[in-house]
Amino acid sequence: MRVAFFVTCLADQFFAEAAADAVRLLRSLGVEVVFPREQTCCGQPAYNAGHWDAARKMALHTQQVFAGYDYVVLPSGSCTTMVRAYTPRLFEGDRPRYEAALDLAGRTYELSEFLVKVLDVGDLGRGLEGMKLAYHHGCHVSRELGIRQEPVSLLEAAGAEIVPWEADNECCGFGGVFAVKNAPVSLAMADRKLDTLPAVDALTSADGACLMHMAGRARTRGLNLKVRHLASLLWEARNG
Amino acid sequence: MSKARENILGRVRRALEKRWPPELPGEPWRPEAQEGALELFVTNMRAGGAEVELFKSVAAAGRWLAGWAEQFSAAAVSPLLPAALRPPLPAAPPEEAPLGVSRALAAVAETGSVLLTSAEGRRLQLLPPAHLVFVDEADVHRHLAGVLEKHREELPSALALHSGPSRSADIGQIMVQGVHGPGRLVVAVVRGLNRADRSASPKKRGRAVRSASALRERLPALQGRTLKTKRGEPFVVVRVTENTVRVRVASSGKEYTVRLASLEKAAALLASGGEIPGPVAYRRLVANEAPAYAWAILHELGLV
Amino acid sequence: MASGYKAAAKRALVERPEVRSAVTKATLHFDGNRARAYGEIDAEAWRDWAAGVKRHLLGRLDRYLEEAEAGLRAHGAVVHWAENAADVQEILRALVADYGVSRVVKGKSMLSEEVEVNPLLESLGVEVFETDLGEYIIQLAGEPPSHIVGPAIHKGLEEIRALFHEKLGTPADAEPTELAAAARRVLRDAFLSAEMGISGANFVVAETGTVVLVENEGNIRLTTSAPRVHVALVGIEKLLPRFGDLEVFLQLLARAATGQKIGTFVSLINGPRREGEPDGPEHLHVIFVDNGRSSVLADDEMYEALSCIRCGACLNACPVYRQTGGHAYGQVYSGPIGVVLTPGLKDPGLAAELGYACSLCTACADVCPVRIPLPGQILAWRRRSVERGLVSGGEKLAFNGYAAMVTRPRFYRLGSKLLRLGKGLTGAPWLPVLGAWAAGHGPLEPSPKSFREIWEEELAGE
Repeated sequence: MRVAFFVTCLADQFFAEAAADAVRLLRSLGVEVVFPREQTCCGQPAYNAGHWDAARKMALHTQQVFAGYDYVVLPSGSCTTMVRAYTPRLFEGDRPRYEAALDLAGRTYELSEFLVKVLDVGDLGRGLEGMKLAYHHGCHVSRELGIRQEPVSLLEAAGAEIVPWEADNECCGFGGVFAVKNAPVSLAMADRKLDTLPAVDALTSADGACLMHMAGRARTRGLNLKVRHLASLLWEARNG
Repeated sequence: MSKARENILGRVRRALEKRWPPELPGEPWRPEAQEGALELFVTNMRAGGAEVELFKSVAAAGRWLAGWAEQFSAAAVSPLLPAALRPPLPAAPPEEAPLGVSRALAAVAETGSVLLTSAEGRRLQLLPPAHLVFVDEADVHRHLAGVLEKHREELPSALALHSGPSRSADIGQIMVQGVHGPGRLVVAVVRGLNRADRSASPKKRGRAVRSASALRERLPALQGRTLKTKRGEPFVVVRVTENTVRVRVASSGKEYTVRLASLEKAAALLASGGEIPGPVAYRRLVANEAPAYAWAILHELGLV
Repeated sequence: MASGYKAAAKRALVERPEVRSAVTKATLHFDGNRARAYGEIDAEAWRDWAAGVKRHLLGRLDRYLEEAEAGLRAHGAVVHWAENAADVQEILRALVADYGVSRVVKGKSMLSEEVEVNPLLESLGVEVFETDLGEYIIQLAGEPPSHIVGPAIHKGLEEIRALFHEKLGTPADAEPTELAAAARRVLRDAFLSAEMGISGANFVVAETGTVVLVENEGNIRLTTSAPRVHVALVGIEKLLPRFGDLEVFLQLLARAATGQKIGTFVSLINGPRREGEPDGPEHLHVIFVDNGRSSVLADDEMYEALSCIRCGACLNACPVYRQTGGHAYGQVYSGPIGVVLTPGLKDPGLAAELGYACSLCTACADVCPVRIPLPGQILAWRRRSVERGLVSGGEKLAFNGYAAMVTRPRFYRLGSKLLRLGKGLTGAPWLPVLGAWAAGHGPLEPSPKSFREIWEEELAGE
């Protein structure tokens, strides 16, 4: 089985080691992983900000880079949502590109979703035994794609305890450009998450942007919060 | 203001020109519970904060009422209630009475509601701090759809669904009861209440009209006559046609139409043992068009 | 034209942190009740059905308006039509004069806020009493409503205690029951002496000409029953085709708004008092109001928002609304539905700022009982703001520049290297975007090596 890895620009720059862990994990499960070097950005920030011409350019580039691969896997819930759910909307009215967008959407997976639904892996190993985690459900990946159970079940099968957290599926406040355009509200939303967080060893999520946002806010508040990307934890589950 | 009407409708039509509206959906999904309708009704009314009492007969309800009413000094009572269910209390207007007593047309089990009519007066349903509502067990429907369907044709000026005592959580999210409407709602479900209406007060019955044609024969004789409503308001029978009776109110000059079909329906009801003691009952049992005048016509013909 | 949301939100968070706690508490409570209530029924089936009825209604709105008007008039109601606030005010002015009105009781109506009924009445020397307890509270405080269903949720118990103590003379430590009793006394007197009651309408049934009102306190029943004249303000979109449609809409509205099976008091009004009825208003006037709705109806991307039944569920689910409450939006309608409707009803320019009172989390779409595609519509307003040139040149440059860079992978890889070289810059407050980010989060810290570098050095060979 051959998978094209779409690292996503955010993970490339800010969660590089976690992205590398994703590749290591996939390889350890017998998957051949290739990295199409021309890849860059799915176009989500521009799409969310209403700059659709710019977004189309980036989406088209992505379409071209990943043409012809049977599986495209991303260590990011929100970027997967962009490719699957939102990119087709950019091309409504442009039949060929719309079809191409749907086609790519049909081949694109978020990492934990790929493990559970395509590789049918339920148990990676017990490398997370005794770890207490809080799991943040990213908005797009949970509401638009319905991926809620997969990451949680993989972590629990690895021995981690996902501690109940009342605000676990509320928006963290990142929202892309929103974090900059309405910073006070964005930070108040992060505070809501942080103030309700139970005592855990680490906060994790399939979305690096959310983790960056909450970790950054925690730091400016002087809170001692450890964040780990889902991909790194899943690799640790397997690798001990 | 008709210009505004044309402008608005014009804009709406233009907005819809190129759009193809979807079809109106048919029957919606309906929840089915295991419990019987009455049981469900009691559960839901209590969950909504109301008290519920069940009686197997009007007599039993009447006995209960005599004792229960002692906690009140007076009551504002619905004219739709039979004598047996009028509390033994001095009458007071709704603005002053500590208790209001209503006769519901129906009840809904799935929402825990009673259906009230403006025919009995609205203030007695709203102003007294305690509200007692009687309803016949046979009128408890499982689904709201059933009640809506049944009462769609004969609408008084206001129907109301009451599902509990008045409540508000507007003060810091803390629930408070009895903010404007009654703070206490008691619903008494009585088996056989509808039968009690019909045999309520004995009335001298005139010659029963045995057929619709007999009614038709006697109506033209009323043309040009001045009659009085039960309240004593004079009106003139202006014109009797094949299917209608047209009347004009003496004081205001307003005209109303009574359909012959409605009078025939009333006559049939009376012939089968029904009672129509006044315009309010006429409205409830026959039709809600010009009931005061229709009743007066029936009275003139000796039917009521 | 700026709506001021950004500044107002910031001010609310900094100057009145108690609003955030009160609103969070209230909305979590409402949303929790809604979730439980949806769970008791087949919510997906009812939401699909209700959405279908509303889309059909909107597609034939002219015919249903005509049918509703005919039904209302057959019951003896007088029907007026108002294109805008000025028309409504002219109609009310005439009614106040015709009926010699000196005192009005009002049921809660967001439409009455849109067309500014209270200021008009006050200018005519008419005494106005808001009778919904939440509306009464904010009337005493001199504020506009901050939420569709709970207009005073931004006020905690202590604040209300102090307000009543000052305005009504209740004890400074009065319990909620005492506060409510004080309001009841004042308003009871108003109900029984007012010449006119003004309400909105939750629905008007076209088939039967029935005005439908839903509430929990009983004040709307009294407002529409006690005074001699009842005036109902009805947005032209607030219709339902059939009487039987009320079955689902009454239950779905209650479940979505507060988690109840049905509103405690539902009024089904068919004209003024009839012959033989002991009481009730002598006159019923219904005013159909457009005020921008026909423009929204003509907008293919936005018209579905006219399905709104004003349940407030989207406000309760919205994590952005939760932080500030409704006043920060500076408009009659706040929360997700406010963001979508306001630019359409009033001025598209408002979308430039209001469109960002949203993180696109899509929680609202999950709860809307009539399936209004709110997130997509908010996004469409952002797109239109860009198309209309309402965003800053800097922002356009940034996105177009980024697009140019990432479609030329060599430049992207160059940018990646520069990011690591200029690491100290990522905390600089004077850089437009990075500076704003750093202020709240600390400086951006890229990974020591980018993934690309790790791939080249370590992973590529395997």
